[in-house]
Amino acid sequence: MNIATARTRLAVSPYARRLAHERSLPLETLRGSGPGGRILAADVQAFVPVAAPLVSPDAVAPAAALSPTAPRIAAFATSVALGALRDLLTALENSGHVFALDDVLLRAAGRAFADMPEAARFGGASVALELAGRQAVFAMIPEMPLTSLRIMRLAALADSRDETETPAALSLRLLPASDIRPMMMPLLAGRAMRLTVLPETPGDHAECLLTIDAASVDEAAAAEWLASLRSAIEQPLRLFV
Amino acid sequence: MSAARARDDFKGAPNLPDPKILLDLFERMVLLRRFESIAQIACRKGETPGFLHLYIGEEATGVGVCAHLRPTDWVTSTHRGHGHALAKGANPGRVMAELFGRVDGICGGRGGTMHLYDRSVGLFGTNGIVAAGIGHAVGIGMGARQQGRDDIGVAFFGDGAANHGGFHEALNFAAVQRAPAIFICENNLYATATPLKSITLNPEIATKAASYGMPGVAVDGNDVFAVWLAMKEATERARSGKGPTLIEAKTYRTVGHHEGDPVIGTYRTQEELDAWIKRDPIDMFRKKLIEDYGIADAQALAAIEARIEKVVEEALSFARNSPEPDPATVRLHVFADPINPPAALAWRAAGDTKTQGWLEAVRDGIAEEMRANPAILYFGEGTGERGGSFAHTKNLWQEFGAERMVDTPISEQGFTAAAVGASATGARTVSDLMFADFAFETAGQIFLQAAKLRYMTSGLMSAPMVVRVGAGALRSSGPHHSGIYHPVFAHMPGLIVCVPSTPADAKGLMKTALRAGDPVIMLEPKALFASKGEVPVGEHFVPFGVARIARGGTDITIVAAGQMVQRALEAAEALAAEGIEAEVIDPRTIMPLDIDAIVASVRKTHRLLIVDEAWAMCGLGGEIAQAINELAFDELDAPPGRLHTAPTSHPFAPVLERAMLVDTARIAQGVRDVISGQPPVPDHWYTVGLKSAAPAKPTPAPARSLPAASTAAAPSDDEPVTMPFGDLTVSEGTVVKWLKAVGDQVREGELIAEIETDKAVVEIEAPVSGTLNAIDQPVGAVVPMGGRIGGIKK
Repeated sequence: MNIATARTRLAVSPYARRLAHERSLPLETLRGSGPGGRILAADVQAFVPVAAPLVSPDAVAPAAALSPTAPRIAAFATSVALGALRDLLTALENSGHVFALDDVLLRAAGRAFADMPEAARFGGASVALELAGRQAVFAMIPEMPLTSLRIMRLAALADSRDETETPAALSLRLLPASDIRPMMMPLLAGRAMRLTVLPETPGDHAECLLTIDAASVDEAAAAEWLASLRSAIEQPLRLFV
Repeated sequence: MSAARARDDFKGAPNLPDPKILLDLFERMVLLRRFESIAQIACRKGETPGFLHLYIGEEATGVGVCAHLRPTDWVTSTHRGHGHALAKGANPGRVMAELFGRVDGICGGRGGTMHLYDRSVGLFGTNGIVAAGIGHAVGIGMGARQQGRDDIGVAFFGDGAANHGGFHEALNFAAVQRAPAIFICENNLYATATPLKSITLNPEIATKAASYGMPGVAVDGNDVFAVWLAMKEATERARSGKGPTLIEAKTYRTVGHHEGDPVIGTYRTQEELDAWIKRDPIDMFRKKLIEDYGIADAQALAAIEARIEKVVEEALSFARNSPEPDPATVRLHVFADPINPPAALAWRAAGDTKTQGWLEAVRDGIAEEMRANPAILYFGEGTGERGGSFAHTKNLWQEFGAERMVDTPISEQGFTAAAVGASATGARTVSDLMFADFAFETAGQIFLQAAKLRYMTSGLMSAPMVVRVGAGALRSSGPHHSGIYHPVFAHMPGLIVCVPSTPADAKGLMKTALRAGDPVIMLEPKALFASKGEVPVGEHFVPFGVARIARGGTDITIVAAGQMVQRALEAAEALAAEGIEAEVIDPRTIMPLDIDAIVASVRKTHRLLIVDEAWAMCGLGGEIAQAINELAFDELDAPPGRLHTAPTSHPFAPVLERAMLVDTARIAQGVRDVISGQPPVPDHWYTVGLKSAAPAKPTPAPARSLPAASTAAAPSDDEPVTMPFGDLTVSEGTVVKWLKAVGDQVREGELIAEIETDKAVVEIEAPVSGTLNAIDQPVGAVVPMGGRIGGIKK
């Protein structure tokens, strides 16, 4: 047997394989609970990308409250007007300060956590920016000047470090502009929340989808968090001070 | 050849039969000779597949014997049997076509030279197995007698068979039963190439008849009229109920053992061959017809030979022009189609039931069928007046008599062969072999004769017999009385294999078996003989190939048969407490196997454990697990598991026997293992020997579980009087009499009570001298074995 093949072969019970196929679930995203990590029917049936227990230097205990065997998922969507932000970014660019939507979203997400009393439970309100196949984690966003945040982001883009294992409450995915509205996005391992942002093609609006593990994030708090994010982007001046 | 000579002095005798009879004998011998000569050429040309054993030189015997037989009499034959087929009246063209393996052959091309059967003329097979057909003739005769006909069974066999157990068992059984049968030994002096004188110190085969108390006659087997005369007397004797006769016909084949074998070889001389050719049966008889009897001239006989020449040429042409069988038909004629008799499939409303013990329920089933069908014969050892070793035929002899409940000698081969012969010719038979282990004493009759008959004859014949045995482990029955072997039987195409688990199923399957069209191996687990269950009142049939869901469940399917069903149900109850709901499927028949029911269950549970009392190697676990791989792979959420009896003989010591058998705890653990995705790994392959040569650390054996005495706690200072442990399959008895009252003085060994079990009345003796101070079980009470019935104060 080819050793490389043996190492990469996914162990899946025939029934689990069939169920995953019927549900169009890529087996690679499933975690196997059988012997040697074999994916079983129960793993497919319980599929919602299971949030692995979050580890926070500040708060370890609440992680135990997560129930990986019975994950529950909630999703919240909103449409965010980008007009004010676009005008502001254009004005700043004219004065020699260039910022991208990514920078603003990172900042807004951090601020939304700052408005959320229980944010400390979720990895210190850190935000993981999803890059191609990896993540870069930004902590202490509210305390950081936007210029510093941008420099850090560009540095993360330039190197290849992957902080998938670094604790963070939320992962942020910026999808290319289109006129498609995201309906459901899976959670990533270790992230209790995921924010997906998809700017509309004309550039007037962005569709925002917040997916959460309801077993670890209060649904009402999550909705409030999203409202806070929208408010920050639609009234962007506050993000620059 | 002294006896033969004695019959040879009729020259000029005035009491010759009708000349037509004599001319028919001549014509028939010519037919046999010319047919074989043409077959010989065809074989040398490679036109016939396989190889042929030719009858050339021995024609007088087959013709002289068969001249007395009707189409409704049957002959059983040998590997050298083309002549018997033709002498009995089979169509030469269709026999030749069979030798060619063609569709118009008398067996449709499935049988061939050594397996020629023809129901229409009473030909019960040439036979590839030496001595196998001798016992068939016994059963054929007994079956005809039971059906009120005076037809007889006639067995041809060679001198080689006279040293085979099949010969001795069949002759003895036939003699004691006064069977309407005749045994024709064609002594051609060599068993293949072994001289008769080198393998027996008594080469006078006819004299062996004396051992069995029947007449034995030796005749010149090359003198057709001598054979005819001897057979005339034997036939009259058989038809009139006087019993069987052994006829030894001394003859010689003037060809090799088979086509291609040298005519002389290392074992015969040219001088010997030449001497026998001078005594050629056709030449001798031609000369007698012309010169001694004066009933024909050379010209008339030449005309007969010319006519026969035409017959055999037409036969050859017919065979050559017959098409080959359609390969698409290869799967036909293994079993009756449908495999179940109509009675087993008829819808019956669920009605009343009554609680019955296993043995009683099956006895009822057999009795019902024997009442309904007077052609059922029951052969068994001690199953007559005694009622069977397990009381499993109790009262049947009293109702049906010794003619039908036949007490046999310990001749499994002999009476099972008779069961094959009778069941294939209009009767039905049970061959009761007592223990499944004993079936191997007659394995050839079961596997090679009964199982293959339907197929060999392209569905024209079958052997609807029941082989009934007590099977499986029970309380230290030991290495020769504990096996169940159902996979061995199920391996053989043509056998139906039943392993019931409840009294109702045992009765229902037995009744179905007694109406079925195929041989049925009825393996009744001895461990269940003492069990009780609800049995439907009235006609109750259980069809073959329909599993029973013994317990519904959602998490795992357990397949178990026989005594493993109860173990599996106990495990399922224990597992339910852990939140595991096991479904238990009882296939009831191993062949046909209701794989659909198992697949349906696995579709629901997605996990499978097979639990089987037989061994693992090439066994039921592997069979079913692989079937699920093939039929329902995508339903499996875990590798299927299997638990079998350990791959050892059955040890005697109880602690060893327990270590060998699958029990409830092992099943429960097996279920947990399968659910955890890691089924128990067997080690029956022995590729590297046992994993651990050293004996495992001895663990204290669990306390022997005695049947709980139903009495309340008894005074501890007296000596208990108990129901003794006795027969293996009896678990309880009823107190029928107390001979002493409380307060009476008793002496040690004195009879104090009587307990009646299913099999006998057990006398209870005082264990010590003293005063009977307690009667715990009054008359009428049912007491388990080992249970206390009273106490004696010393």
